Amino acid sequence: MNDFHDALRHEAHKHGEAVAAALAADAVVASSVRGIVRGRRRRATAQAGAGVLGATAIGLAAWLAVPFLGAGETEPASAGDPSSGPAPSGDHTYRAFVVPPPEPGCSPLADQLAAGLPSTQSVEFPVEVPGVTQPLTGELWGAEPVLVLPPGEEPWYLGLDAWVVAADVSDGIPDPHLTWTSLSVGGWALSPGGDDSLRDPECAYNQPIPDLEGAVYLVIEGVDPDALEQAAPGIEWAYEAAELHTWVYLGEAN
Amino acid sequence: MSRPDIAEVVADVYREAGSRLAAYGYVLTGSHHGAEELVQAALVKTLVKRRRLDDHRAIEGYVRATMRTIHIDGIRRDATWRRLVPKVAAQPSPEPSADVDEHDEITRVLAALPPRVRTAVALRFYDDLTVADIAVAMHLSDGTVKKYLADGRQRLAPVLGVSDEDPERLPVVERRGP
Repeated sequence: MNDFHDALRHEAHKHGEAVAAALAADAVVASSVRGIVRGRRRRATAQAGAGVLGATAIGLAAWLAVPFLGAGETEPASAGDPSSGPAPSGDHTYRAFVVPPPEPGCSPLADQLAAGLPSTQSVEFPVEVPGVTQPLTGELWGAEPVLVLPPGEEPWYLGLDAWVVAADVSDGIPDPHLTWTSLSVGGWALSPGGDDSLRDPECAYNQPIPDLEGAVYLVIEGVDPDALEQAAPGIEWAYEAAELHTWVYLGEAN
Repeated sequence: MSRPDIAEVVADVYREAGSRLAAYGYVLTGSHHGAEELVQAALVKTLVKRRRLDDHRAIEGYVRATMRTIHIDGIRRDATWRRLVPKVAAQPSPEPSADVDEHDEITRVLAALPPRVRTAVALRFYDDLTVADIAVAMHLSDGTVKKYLADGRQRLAPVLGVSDEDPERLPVVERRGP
């Protein structure tokens, strides 16, 4: 056994004991419970909409063949590639599309994009993205946050799993996972990192700063059921609403 | 059997595993305050996602892994945050290390280490990760990790009362290529 290793653990244990007393305080427990309840409520937002939307589970192939019932009533306003529509309006309202969950793999979301999703049949609804969105360059694959939410802003997707994907990524992972981190001054940053439940653990991990071209999407695991019901009332979805993904069109890479 | 109450589970985890988790957080952050914040954030994040609450040992493992993820992501974001702070808020808060209230020698040295060095030390000597695994986790090269470990060891060994020339406990494992 290594002296350095043992000595470090011994010292850390003493300090851990001191901190543990503070953790066991009623106020800390109560604060943690409030955080858990709030977080679960956010995650449950999409699930709560499942009943309203009347979800029916079918496979991915079936989704692609029959995206949803009533598609003709809810086709996005612009024809052709959804990303060919208007750019983000500048007032924090972005176009977003509902896309089925992908199969796990090494580039699950990029594969969907390459397969033509979101398509002209995808249901579209507006998503508010307050705060600062960064220029759409390969720097987003490195240290740049995709977006920064100011203090007090808590949109429905705060805390949900998210990814960024671009139509053409020159190297490395084309669709990195993003993680929410609270800023010490208040507000939240959404940046590459965190546990990626969609990526097969056997995949090679390689995330250089790439060159980007084409449409860039922020992908959120979940949907806003109220906005979706308003945009596409009465649709019978092929998946649980919590499983659906929201693809927010951020614009074209520059 | 009734489902365990969240408050009960939280209190149990803090009581049963709090000292181990806080010790890990202390080495990662170099402060009591940082450790407390990190443990809380990781427990909340873990229990938001995981609803099986009957295995406290498993929860401890998940919380520990989440602590590492949150901390490493936080380090990577620090420089960016400092640049973006003027865009989202007027007043930056003090550095976490300024809040340390336990100023013994080990805390002073640990808090003074650069965050990446301290994190590499925690992952190597507290998590028993290999150099290659640390490099992957921190998005660094193997050589940079080795340098950080040597720096950390050199600074910490005197206050721990041990030699800084002990051999590494674990072999460096070659990383698989893409």
